[in-house]
Amino acid sequence: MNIVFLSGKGGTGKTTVSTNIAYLNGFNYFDCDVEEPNGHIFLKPVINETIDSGVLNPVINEDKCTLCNACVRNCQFGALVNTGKKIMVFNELCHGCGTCSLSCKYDAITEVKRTLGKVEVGTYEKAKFVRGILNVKEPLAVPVIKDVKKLINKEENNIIDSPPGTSCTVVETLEDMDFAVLVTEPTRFGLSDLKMAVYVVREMKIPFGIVINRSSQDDHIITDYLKSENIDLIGKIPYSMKAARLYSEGKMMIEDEEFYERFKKLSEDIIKRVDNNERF
Amino acid sequence: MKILLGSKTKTVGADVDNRFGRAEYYAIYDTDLKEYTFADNSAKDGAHGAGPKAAQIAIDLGVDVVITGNLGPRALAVIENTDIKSYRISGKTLEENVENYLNDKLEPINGAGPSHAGN
Ligand code: SF4
Ligand code: SF4
Repeated sequence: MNIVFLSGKGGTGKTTVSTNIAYLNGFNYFDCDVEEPNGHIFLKPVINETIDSGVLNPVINEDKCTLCNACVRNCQFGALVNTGKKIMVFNELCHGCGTCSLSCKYDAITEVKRTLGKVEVGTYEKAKFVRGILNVKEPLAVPVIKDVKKLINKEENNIIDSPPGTSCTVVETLEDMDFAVLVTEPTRFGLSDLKMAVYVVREMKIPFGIVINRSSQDDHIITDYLKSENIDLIGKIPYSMKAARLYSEGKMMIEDEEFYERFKKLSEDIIKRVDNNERF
Repeated sequence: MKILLGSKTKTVGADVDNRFGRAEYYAIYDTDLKEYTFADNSAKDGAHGAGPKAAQIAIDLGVDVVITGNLGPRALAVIENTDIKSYRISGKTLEENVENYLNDKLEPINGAGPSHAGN
């Protein structure tokens, strides 16, 4: 069972919610927010293994290349350009799909591995902990996310922390998810980002529900929208000084009795929905 | 000689589109025939890498000159590997820019020196 946590933008407390739910239930935790993975701050895992993550970039042998253009034509990512004098390769656009070397009839392409980041594998409590870490300034995150997701066993219970936003990294993360929890906050910005996230999960036909974090008297900003769109509100986490303090100290919210009860209820409400595979 | 410009619409009187990779359309002006033709920009909708794709379009169309607001580093790298010259937009419409180019009034983007206008 794969439950993904996502938010339209960073800073909504997505990771706070996902780590607490994972911990409470002893679920495996996969951090796909590879540009800014921070689940480890709360789950404090022990890392046993680090795997290099990267792509194979083509290198063109200009002596063999006839400029036949087959590789350029077949590259879906626009990573190759035929200037008429040579083939230029833009490594930072290349997803390492290997199509170009397969299409070259002149044996002019070899592949060289380029490291994009790494995947750390370990445990917290008794569950699996995996996180992807993208190298600083590296624009290509999707292959690292793929490497994290290779380690997911769908037979087990897994929590996946998605990158924020709605880009291709989010789409990659959402692939093969059974249920999505969209974490938002009751502000105008929260609402407009939430709308985009809703659009993405609907496009991908993933059952989903909403959690309002830092719930306050402004919740109607979100709930009015949910009502009008007939979207399921799973639960709320109230705003409190105590929560902010626990967060800043890198502590789990469930260390606090009141939040323990709240997260327990929230977990049950999420799992119930996943089990029923309800669609709202 | 052929000149490529980003264009807001597919009409002769159109305003230039100062984006290169993400221009709405491309206008190609043939200085010999004194005629405009227009092309769709298949590069503009991709999430990444519109610049190099657009540079490929310019190469495939066989243009000699590109007039645009700015070239990103990747598009510039491609253009610099060809014989295509690139110039910065000055003027609102396609016609003003072509006119300015023909009168040596545009500043080169990839050219070594400043404008070749003064020499
Ligand atoms: S490996 Fe794939 S993405 Fe990279 S250049 Fe070749 S065809 Fe394009
Ligand atoms: S397919 Fe091979 S021969 Fe053809 S342009 Fe690409 S590298 Fe050159």
